[in-house]
Amino acid sequence: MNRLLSVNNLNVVFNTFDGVSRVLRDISLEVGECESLGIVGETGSGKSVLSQSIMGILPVPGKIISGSIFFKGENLLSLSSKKMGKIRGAGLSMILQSPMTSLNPLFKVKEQMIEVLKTHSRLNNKEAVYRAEELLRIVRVPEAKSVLERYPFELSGGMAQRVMIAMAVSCNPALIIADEPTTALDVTVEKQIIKLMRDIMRRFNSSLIWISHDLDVVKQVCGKIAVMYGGIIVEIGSTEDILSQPLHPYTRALMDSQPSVSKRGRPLQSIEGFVPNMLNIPDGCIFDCRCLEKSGDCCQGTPPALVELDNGRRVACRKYL
Amino acid sequence: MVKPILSTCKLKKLFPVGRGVWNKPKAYVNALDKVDLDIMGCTTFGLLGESGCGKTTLAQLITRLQEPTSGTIWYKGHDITKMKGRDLRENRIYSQIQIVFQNPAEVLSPRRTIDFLLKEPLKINKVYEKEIEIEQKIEELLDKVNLRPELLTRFPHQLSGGQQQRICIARALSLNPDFIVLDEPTSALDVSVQAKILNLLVELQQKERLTYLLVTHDIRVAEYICTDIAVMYLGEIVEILKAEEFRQNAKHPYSKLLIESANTECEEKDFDLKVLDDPPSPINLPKGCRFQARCPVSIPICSTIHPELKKISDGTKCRCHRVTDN
Repeated sequence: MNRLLSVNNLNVVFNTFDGVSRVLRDISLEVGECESLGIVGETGSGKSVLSQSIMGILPVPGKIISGSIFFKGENLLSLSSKKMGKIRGAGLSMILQSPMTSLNPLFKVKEQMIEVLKTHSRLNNKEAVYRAEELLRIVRVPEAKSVLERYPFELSGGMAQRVMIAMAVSCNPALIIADEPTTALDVTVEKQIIKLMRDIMRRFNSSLIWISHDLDVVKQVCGKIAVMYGGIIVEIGSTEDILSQPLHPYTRALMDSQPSVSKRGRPLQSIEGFVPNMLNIPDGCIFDCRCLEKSGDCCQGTPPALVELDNGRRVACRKYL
Repeated sequence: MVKPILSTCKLKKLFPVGRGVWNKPKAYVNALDKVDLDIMGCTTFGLLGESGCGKTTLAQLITRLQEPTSGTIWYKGHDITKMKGRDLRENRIYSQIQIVFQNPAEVLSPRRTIDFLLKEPLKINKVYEKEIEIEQKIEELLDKVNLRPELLTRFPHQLSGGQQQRICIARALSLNPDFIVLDEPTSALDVSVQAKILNLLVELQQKERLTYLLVTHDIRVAEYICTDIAVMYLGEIVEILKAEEFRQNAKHPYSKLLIESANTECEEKDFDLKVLDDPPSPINLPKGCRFQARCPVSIPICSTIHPELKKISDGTKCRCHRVTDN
């Protein structure tokens, strides 16, 4: 199978006044052509740092210290910033959580959309405007012509997010990374955006990485899920497998803590304790201090690596060694 | 017959927009329109709706953080609508109705220690005379929300989101309230942290005999913790029913739309694309039913006559011309 994106043993640190924070440790994952991968994790799991590393927009004091990120056969980490700039926004694009902070409030929608088009293609002004209008129609923005003339603050959250999606697909990307694209939106709007993204993937033959803290959202869009905790991937496999039979204790705890009508009258399963400090990572398994299924030696030695089981499932847990 | 602990009657709130001739507002935002509610003691009443439906405005009116334009609010049999500062203090309404907000990081002053923040409501309301009584109360509050006394010397930014929200809950409890408004209390928290906070709220409700008004946009939370759910749309309540039966028994097309949106089973054919993502402006409300432009089952009467909130024989209430008793 063609591997469009391949992240291999990626290690990212943040150099802070209090020491070195090891936010991503030995991350390996791949996304094939026309595939969708969901990355699920809570605060501090490192999912946003991972997406920023892939896009090459990791903020200071973040630093990639080892590993590789292969995209269409090229190691993105070895490219010059000029070459990376050609890929970013075109072959590899991103949709962020809050369109209101990602879209420039000083420029009209038209100007922001044609900027992307003119940077990455040979379209002239007139052609770019025409293409921008066409893209807005593809993402189902009503009255596309008049929306082009509006400023971002004049748009609703859902509409602004559609503009972002239009910008992200404007140069036919092979891979779109969506970092919590619907978290800030109402549930009816969220459902529409989910459906739109599924249509977009089909229409543009793009692959998708959807990052979220919400398993229920990710399961509607992605065929594969990677669960992250404390800077590592703890489990990765097909959506169907992970949801029907979660293997890692963290995945299980996460699913059990979701409220639902069937759990009325009983306390929800919660995860005691906190994510360990990335400045001082303990020996053994990162989830040990909060795990309900641990054994005596989970807190010792090297952390369990991601081990491959049948049908492509991988888990980082001593129980499966 | 048991009376509700809190009721509203035809509660209305308009916000003026812009300035025209003689400084009169050019238009008004219809944030809330003649809302009638009855909340029974020791229950959790859920207000479910999306942005702009008026649920936060309703929560603020009930806690008297905003003044209603018209209508009445009854609390334990007293009309508290027009009560002002001194009356509210003397009748202890301020202490009996408390509120917990969505984002604890924005609520807790970053310049104050947790110790100061917990003592603040007690000192302002002159609850105790002696410092030692205040210290004991703080210990008791921390214990109720399962936090350790070591946190007292820390600043809010040194606590996690869940711990910060527990401090906000502790502050809300400090004046021994009977009624707590929870305005999206877990929306800003991770799922596993949300679980702990929801468990805490349920435990406290039983121990302290509290009544909750829970404002949320998350059906899963509402279904799990609420006794009753009122669905709001553009400033009106469109349906009220028991939370346990919400998914099976909801009749209003908007309630069904919310349920369908939260439904995670992947079906291509389902979603009605007629539903635009922009509801009509709350300044220029349409004639007739407010949901009609997005409704998949609207009929001609919906665009001319505004439906009333009707009682249905199964005990629910619904504001829809298509929903009748048979």
